[in-house]
Amino acid sequence: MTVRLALSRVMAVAWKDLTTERRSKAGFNGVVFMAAITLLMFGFALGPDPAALRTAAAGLLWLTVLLSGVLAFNRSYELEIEAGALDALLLYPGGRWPIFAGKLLANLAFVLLVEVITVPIAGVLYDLPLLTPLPGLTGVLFLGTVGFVTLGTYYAAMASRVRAREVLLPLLLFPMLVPLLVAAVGATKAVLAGDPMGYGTAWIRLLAAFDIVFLAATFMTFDYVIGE
Amino acid sequence: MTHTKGSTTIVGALLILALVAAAQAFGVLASAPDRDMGHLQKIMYVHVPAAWNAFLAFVVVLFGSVMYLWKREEKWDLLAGAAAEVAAVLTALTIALGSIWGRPTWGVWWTWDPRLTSTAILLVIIVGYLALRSFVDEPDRRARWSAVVGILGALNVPIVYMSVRWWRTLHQPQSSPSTVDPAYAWGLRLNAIAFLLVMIWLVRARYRAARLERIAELAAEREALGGRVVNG
Amino acid sequence: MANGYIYAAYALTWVVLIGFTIATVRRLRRAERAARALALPGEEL
Repeated sequence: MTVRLALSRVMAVAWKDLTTERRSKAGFNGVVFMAAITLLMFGFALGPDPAALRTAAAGLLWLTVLLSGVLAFNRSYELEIEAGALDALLLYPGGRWPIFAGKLLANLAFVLLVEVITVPIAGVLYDLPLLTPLPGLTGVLFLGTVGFVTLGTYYAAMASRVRAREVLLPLLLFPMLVPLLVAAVGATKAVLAGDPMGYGTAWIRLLAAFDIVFLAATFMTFDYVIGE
Repeated sequence: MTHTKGSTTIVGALLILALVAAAQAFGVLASAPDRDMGHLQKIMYVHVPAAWNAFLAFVVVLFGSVMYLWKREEKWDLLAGAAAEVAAVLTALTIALGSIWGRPTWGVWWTWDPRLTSTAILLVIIVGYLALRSFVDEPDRRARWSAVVGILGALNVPIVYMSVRWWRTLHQPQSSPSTVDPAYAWGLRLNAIAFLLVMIWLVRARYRAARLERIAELAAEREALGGRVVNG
Repeated sequence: MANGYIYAAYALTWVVLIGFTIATVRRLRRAERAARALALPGEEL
């Protein structure tokens, strides 16, 4: 399959996923609301001491992203499964990876958009300096989200087609996310604090390494997961 | 796989368990109380063998998964599944024993060190693997998905270990659990071997059970479809 | 005092070993019975 054809299929899948999302606004709004409320609840659970919240902020932010992002992954396959369109998609010749790539891109856009709204809310609730570290913060959020969405889209391809999917997806996904979580929180903490010890770059490089490893592993094995 | 009489299985199990008891007796009686730890170090005779064999069982899961994706023969998938069940029990036991050792030693039931956390993550991965297997009904899909999840999970464990290790060194100097006094080495080896026999017995028995269950399933399907039960 | 922990550790180990072994034997027996009932004598077990 030519590169051009492959890319056009990727974009077609991604676009379809995203536009279907836009029509059912409940999806996006629901996830954003869930994220905001989670941040609030964390505040009540760990506050009211502002110093404690500021220390915990990086971890709380990423946990919120993880918990709300998971909601999005299963639904990205739900639409096809309900309409029976998955079988039709699979009949197209030329490898299954464009399906994965398309859904990955759609989920990535979705979660990044959620973060655009959620991070400022966290900044307000936990009193975080967001303007100065903005470039570094954006980089960290992007890299962390890529890894998260890669693994999430991958495991959701299985979990969404099975009973008890809301429980199975976190059960399968979260242990795989531990290294990513540790690195993302470490990098975020460093970036927000102005990186006094210089650990930020090391964590960011680790994040990038994880992304490459996860992307490679998932793309190489996606055929086993989506095939009949 | 040749048919073994039911009684041989039980005899085998009893023999092996007797060996475990003997190894434990040797270990506990033959070694003097540790300088610092008193008799507490004797917990190592169960904790360490459990840990080693838990990881070994998980290696069998990885091996079975790879072999299945390569050969596409169902027996590899059944082997992986059997090994995962044993690995789950041994891993949980390892963590519990480590906790029991840790409480009087460090004063806490749990610490966030790389070994303990990786083992806990390993347990979650195995439980997730088993949950996936229990939810998927079609054998072919179950085998394919289990194999992939198993392989990715296995690759993740060392990554978790390294991440946590790095995460920890940033906060405090690495303090690993005390290494075992050489005086304990022989007792440890004996117990490890005894436990290995237990692990092998359990995996073989559960593998055999899984194969027989599949045979019964297939035979029942054939009958249900209305034909005679055909040899093969 | 620490001896209580040692007893607990060994007791737990044995409970788990024996319990899991018994459960395995029972599952194996059930599977053997099921396969024997449905398969022809010549079929490889």
